[in-house]
Amino acid sequence: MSETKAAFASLLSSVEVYDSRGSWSPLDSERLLKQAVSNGWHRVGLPESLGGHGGDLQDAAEITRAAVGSPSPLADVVIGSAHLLELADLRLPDAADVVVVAVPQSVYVDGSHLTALASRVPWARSASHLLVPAPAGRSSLVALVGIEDVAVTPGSNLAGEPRDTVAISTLLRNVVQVPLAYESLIAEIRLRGALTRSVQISQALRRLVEITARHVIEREQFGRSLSAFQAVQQQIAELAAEASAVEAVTRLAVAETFARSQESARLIACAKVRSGIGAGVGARIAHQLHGAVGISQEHQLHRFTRALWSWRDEFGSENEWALTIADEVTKGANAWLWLAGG
Amino acid sequence: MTDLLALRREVRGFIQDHVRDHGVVLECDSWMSGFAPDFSRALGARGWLGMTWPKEYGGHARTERERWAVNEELLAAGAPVAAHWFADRQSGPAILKHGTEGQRRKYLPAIARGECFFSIGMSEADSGSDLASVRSRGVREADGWRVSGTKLWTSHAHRSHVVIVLVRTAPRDPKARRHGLSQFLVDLNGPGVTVSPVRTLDGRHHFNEVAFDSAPADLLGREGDGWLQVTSELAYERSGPERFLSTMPLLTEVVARSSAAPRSVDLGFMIAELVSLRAMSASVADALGRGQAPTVEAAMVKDLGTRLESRVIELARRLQPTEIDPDSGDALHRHLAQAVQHAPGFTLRGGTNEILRGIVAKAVSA
Repeated sequence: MSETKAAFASLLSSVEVYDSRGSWSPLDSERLLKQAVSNGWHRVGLPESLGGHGGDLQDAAEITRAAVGSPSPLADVVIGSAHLLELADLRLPDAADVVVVAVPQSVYVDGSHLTALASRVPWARSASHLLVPAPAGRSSLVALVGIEDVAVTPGSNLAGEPRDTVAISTLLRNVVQVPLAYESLIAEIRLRGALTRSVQISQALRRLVEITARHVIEREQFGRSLSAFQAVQQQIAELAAEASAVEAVTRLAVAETFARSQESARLIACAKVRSGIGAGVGARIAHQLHGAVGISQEHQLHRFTRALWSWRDEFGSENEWALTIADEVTKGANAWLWLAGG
Repeated sequence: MTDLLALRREVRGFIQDHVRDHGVVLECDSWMSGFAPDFSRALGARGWLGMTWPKEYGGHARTERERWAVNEELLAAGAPVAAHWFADRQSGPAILKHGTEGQRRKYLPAIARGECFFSIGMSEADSGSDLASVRSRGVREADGWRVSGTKLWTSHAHRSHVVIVLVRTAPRDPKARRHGLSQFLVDLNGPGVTVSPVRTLDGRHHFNEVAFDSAPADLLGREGDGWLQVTSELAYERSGPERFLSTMPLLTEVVARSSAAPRSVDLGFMIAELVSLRAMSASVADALGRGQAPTVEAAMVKDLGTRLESRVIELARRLQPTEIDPDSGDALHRHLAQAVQHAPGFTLRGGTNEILRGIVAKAVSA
């Protein structure tokens, strides 16, 4: 597993996607993405029977972590898209490159014609296909739509990552029926997306600890390293604790999801809450300890903090998921049994 | 982990039986104030003390994770585990690791039966966070070691059997402050020991001042190795579920009453944080079971967990506003009164949080 991560990380670090002033070059990320696709990384996490290269959720999580710091759709591809393809038992065509899930705001199926509108779709502009869920009576459909049938309007999140609006009006060419109610299918997609963002946030926090530690050691004021000051020590310890707490619950959520356990949904909810909280606290402390230089575009800090500020709101913020958890816990009436098992 | 769930259910049944049949009272912070020798003995008879110790010393050779699960259940319920807590958690493991064969055979089976209780003699009036500055001393005389000095904040010394003291046995070297310290076992009922109560602000008595006047003492481990020995106890002391479950009885009570309350984001946050802390604590337990000493992660658990314990109080006050009546038998009032008045201690005991954050910072950025 760490071999996977090492190989992928080595590919990513071979292409610099930020210029010397710290400005992101989307073209370079596209180049890197093409290379990753030609090496087959976009098919990890998907069984070979569905056109994948094999590998499991743990492998997909390793790739997701390795990609943090270099804007890429691969996290959503190897976790989110792979999961939906598996749920739908839909085979990825050989010609497919980057395939991303588009959760519709509005969707209508008339016979064999699909109309759908979706916003904030990650990297739709770089995709070869979109996966679009649609209701079908008491079950659902999942359609694989070629990008040539999609009108893409670019958009982005706070981190500059592509979050595009897509308008679809097309005949259904590659579609399967899924024996799940539409609301349940959307809930599954949302859960898997929340898991992806939790893993990404966890890694970003790990990077913040590394970067901030190096900064407070190297930066000197008043004749000594910042790390000599108690006020600084207290804060970096808090940053480290947040990163560890987020990592612990996220790893547990990944493990339980991988094991297909009954606990996975509630653990993903907890991971998304904890990672959302940690994202805010971590970004704040990292910036405070970096001083002014951390606010510059040139410094690498913002690559992680803007990502944290974006990711914590995607697939449900910590506030929304916290309400879900609270509802469940109060419905069950015994908080300890909910936590430790009934 | 169905085996662990079955074990948890056993513990829950055991607690309920004792509440119903033996008048056991459940409360917040029960590992600090719930001193109940009969309950400890019953736990011992059930095989839930000394769980991870070798059977030849009265232990049960079970995993750290199983011990962790049993203790989570006891603490979450608020069961009175104070009498055996220090003995089972750290004194026993210290004797197992550093003690002579004679000491192991003398103490470990008795601790595992829930019959021998230990106090921890570390802090002094002038030595809290700066533990290496202790002034109590150990002197080797013709007929054995003797300790003199005064320890403070010694929980349950008035009803425990043995205290393990950290004292100076060699003069302090300013360049090596942690050298020259040793640990001793002292009989609390033996000669030269005077125990005086120190009441806490809620009027209760579990702290003491313990004065030693040439009290006979039994060296634990090696002379001069006191600091090293104490440090290895700390990963055990700092990472356990008592660092985040002290106010769980209050949280459970509040949630049980809040099914009709407006949806609470704060409750969701609290639950998610508890899940995360439990995951960290479990991972430390596993590491301890592998013979590692994850001191940094343990310090993080303690820091985050004890702050969460206080936030439970604020959540409770938000979900169930009330004027606390300390004399009320109602569980909400009882738990709130106990939790609020014990809260200042959460972040002070077992390593002041600011000091622990200093330890984490040095590990991360030194």
